[in-house]
Amino acid sequence: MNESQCMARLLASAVHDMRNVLAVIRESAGLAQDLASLAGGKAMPAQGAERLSTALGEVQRSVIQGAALSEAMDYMAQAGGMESGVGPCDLARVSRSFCLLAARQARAAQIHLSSGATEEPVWANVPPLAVLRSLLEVFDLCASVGGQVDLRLTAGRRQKEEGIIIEATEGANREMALAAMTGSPMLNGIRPGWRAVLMPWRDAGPRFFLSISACDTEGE
Amino acid sequence: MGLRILLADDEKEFVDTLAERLSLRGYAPYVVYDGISALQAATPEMPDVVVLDLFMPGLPGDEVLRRLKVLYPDLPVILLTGHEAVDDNGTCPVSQAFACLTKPLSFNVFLETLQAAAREGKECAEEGGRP
Repeated sequence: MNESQCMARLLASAVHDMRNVLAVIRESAGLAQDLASLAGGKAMPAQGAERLSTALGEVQRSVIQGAALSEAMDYMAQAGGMESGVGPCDLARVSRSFCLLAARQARAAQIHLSSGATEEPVWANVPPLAVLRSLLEVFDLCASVGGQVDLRLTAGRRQKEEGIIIEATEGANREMALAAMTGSPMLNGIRPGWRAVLMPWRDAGPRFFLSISACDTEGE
Repeated sequence: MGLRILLADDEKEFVDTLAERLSLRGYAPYVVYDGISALQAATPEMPDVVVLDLFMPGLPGDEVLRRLKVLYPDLPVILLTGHEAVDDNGTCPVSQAFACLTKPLSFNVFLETLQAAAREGKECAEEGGRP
């Protein structure tokens, strides 16, 4: 068992427990809503019942958010647990997971992350952890110029190659973020035998195409 | 009497609360906390639907499902799991289960799934002669 597989097992175990915690919170909040609804105006004044309903609704929304985060963490655990780490992986799911997993860092860097909709999975024979790592590098490039940019990540194809379309849609530092990405076509830190390239896609607007592919020379 | 639902989950707080919510809506839930008890309860209770947690100590949900299906092929079984158990096509990897739902549940989706499972179980019983 390597370190990645060790981390994946422990993460999967923790996610399982977290889902159970969320399940208990959700059902308890649901039961409280049921009971409040049954009590009607008899047990408490209307204002109190309304406040209780709002508070329990907020609990339900937070649980849904926690469940989405759990799903992303579960996916990361699955990705880390793969023996070879090689797909096929669904790039649309990787993009969605990245946006959820990096949300806290994005808030701190004033970067708004969103994943674009895709009608169907976009399968690619690449290691999902390498894709996450490359996306984090793109994120860091944008953070290095001060953040304040909206990034949309969408799995797609360019000239029959699968990859992730990265758009800087808005934000005070949008142009600087685009310049930073233009100046860093080769992303570092990816595992030997793989290459991540960030290609400008100007004819399609202010967007880039992140391509990850196997390369012949190890460590290229 | 409402639909008889056998609920098996080692997460006591979760399953007890789920049962209480079902009771409020007129269902007749019966709760057990492990796989062996689920098997033992299935025969005398003859539930309309069985809901099993996938990961239970002793006998896991998929094994309980397998044994239940040998005894009662038409009995609809819903699996619950804290892991992401559906694949990218949204299908359940345990093919004998009516559905596989991930915690935390949407209660409305759970109710709809229970109703659909009970309908299918009833239709299968009528066609196949299950008592």
